[in-house]
Amino acid sequence: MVSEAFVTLTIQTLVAGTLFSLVGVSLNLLYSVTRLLNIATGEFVMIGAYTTYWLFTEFSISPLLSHVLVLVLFSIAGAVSYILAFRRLTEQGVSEKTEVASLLIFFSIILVAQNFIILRFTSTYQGYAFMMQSVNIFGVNIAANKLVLIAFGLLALLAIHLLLSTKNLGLAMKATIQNRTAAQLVGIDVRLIDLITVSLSLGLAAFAGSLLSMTFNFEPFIGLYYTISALIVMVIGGVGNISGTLIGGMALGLVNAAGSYYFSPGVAVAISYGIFFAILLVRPRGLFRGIL
Amino acid sequence: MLHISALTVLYAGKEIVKDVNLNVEENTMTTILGPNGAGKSTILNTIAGLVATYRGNIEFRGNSLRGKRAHEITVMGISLVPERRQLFPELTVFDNLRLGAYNKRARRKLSKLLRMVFEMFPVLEDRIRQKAGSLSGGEQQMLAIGRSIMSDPYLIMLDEPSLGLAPLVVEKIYSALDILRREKGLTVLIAEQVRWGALSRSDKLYVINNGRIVACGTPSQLPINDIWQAYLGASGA
Amino acid sequence: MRMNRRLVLVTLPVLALLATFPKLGGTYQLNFLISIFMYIALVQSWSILAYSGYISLGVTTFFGIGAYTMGQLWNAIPLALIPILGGAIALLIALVVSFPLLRVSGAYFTILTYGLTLLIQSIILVFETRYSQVGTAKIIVLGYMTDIVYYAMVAVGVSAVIVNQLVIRSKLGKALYAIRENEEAAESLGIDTYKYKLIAFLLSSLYAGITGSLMAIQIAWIDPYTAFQPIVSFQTVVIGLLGGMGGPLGLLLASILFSVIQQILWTSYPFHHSLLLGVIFLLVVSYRFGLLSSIRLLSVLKERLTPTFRSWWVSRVVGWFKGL
Repeated sequence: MVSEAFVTLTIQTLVAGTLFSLVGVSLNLLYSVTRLLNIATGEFVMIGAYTTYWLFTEFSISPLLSHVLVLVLFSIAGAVSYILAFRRLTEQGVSEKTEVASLLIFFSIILVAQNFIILRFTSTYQGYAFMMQSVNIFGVNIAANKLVLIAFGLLALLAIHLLLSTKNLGLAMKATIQNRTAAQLVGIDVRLIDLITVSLSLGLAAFAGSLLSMTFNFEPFIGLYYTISALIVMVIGGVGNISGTLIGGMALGLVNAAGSYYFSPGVAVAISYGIFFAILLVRPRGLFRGIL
Repeated sequence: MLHISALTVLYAGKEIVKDVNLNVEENTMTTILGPNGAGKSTILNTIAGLVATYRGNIEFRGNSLRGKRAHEITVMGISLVPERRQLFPELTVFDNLRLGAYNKRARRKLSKLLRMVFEMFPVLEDRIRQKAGSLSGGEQQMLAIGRSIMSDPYLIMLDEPSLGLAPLVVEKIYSALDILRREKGLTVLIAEQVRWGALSRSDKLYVINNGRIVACGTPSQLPINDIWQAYLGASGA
Repeated sequence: MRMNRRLVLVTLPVLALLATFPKLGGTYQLNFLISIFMYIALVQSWSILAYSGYISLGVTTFFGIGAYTMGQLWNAIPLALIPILGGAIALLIALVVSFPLLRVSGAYFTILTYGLTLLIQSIILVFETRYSQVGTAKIIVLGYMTDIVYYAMVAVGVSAVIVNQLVIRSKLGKALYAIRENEEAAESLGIDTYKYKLIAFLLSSLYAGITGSLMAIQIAWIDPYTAFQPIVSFQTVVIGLLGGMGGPLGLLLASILFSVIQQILWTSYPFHHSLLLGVIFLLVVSYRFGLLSSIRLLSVLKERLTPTFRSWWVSRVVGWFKGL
């Protein structure tokens, strides 16, 4: 009836696509509102994964609970770090100085994050078994945790979409993205918008990590892969275009799934990168309306 | 209503605005005339809270504006229509206007304010679902002014509202502003290069050159020759 | 280049000291100097492109290519050829990727170079699974060669400084600065921005490749993961950006300073040194850009310390240079 390959590919696409969309939204949201390019996005994903792993193996806390915990915890952490440090960067407006500063800050975060995890957990691959029971979908056995990943992920993405559609906060965020000065002039407290954005962005990235820890093995260096994926998704979707990011995430998920299935994961990465190159070649200024 | 004394603003170490004194009385139309780079935009931006540091005092309805951030100043009742409009290009005319009424006081009067804007600029109602970025220059300017009106301000400031617009459109805009002042009790402060529309309707004129006020008075006190003299003054062009 | 007598008088003894160091110092000190000169070479060559405002996060990529080449070929072909080969392959790959890379705007360029490591690493892994077994690292047994590595690295490092200075004073340098100011304007003035960016990019990749090949001997265990270490890019960029703010001298001093810090950390905290380095980076950057000033205590401390620190430091250095 339905081919095994089709079902497997669909599930793989949804799994990868959900993760890519989450990190893509994380990066896109932060960049379009604050103009901070978080090249450490992947590292937050990685830490989210390890956090859930740790909570499960040390305290037997169910990953299902951890997903929510991680989301909330890292959102708060994001808010705190905004108040302590990032506020300075966003206030001064965009300049070469702030770009350099943010690059250096995120770099340092990458270093600290990677090495902290290496020290605590070693650099070998880790993983845990959770909800491994098979669910039969059209004759193919799929691990239940993959379905949980897709469900939680899509739910979060829906929530974000709804948030951005609200008349007050959502409209205010869109306004801040499109014209920060005008947003201030109509009475929007852009500092508050920045705070919410940073919190959400960090929370989402860690949340994605938490989700992936159920299904994939992970090690301290998976960050780069997810950061690049987030960037590709942002380019496909367009800066400030969150719904486009969703589509971009799924598209990249499809490329990834197909590439891995028919060739190998390494090839999938090469193809993804190649597509990235290609898009930027055709539109050197990116797919956005001249913002980057 | 608005009292500015000894205002000095620096940018990159240079004094863009030097020791400016300026008063705007309630329910009047005041125009600051000056060539490019004279500092008039800076004055408006500083009042609106977009400039972080300055020397001197700015007082509005008895309250000092020092230390207040842009969105707080909007809530206090000052609305700026910035140079080059600064709309939200991807949002519709409706959303742009709705955002104008972001502050709580205006939000309660949303439909009333919207009516007022559409009366003044009927074309905006025609284009209500269109994206702001797709409007013509004149329509964008009307939308920008409309957005400012939506915040239910006491004082509305306009930075070069006639920039790049056809004379007929400029006339329409200035008569609309005049109506706002006379019928709705709004106070208007405009920064412009020399424009007849502004000159003829203003209750008070300030001429600024190189950051300093070089002349001030009512249009009858300052005959047009004197204005040009003061305007071109130091630059000697 | 102005041949200032005092400059020559200072550099000659330094060079002489460097030349005879292997006889004077022990292996540990030698390794220390090797890593100093490695970062000098990397940072100086990386800066050439940075003058144009294009920040490359891909130093690891070309360093890794050089290191991997050495790993594969160290006992197959004459040793002296390998750094040259490593540099050449790095150059070739840089040439290939430059085609799309240099046609995008600055921010994208940075992003793309960041991912370049991942791409090259993946390609190598694909080849390894096809043609050999994954996980077979090449172990270079050349411990006795430290002296030679030292001399080679000093030579590479010094040449990098010289090349950097030559570039600054040349047409290439002026073009790069013009690009940084306003690339479109430079183009309209007839400057072939692509050509100059390419030369700068190739130079930095070449040096990274050669340096990688040499350092592979020190690293000894070479596989696709040890060859492409992220810290190389990070440290180069951090030193380059922070040190670069102080001009050419700042660049040099920052390279030495950070290498010293790294060495101290590595010997004192063999397990935690990378983490501590990252924390130090974080603190230094926060300090430099006034990021933590929301915390009253820190900003007060900074205000107290900065004037005294700066004036002492600046007057010392400026005075010494005026004397030259």
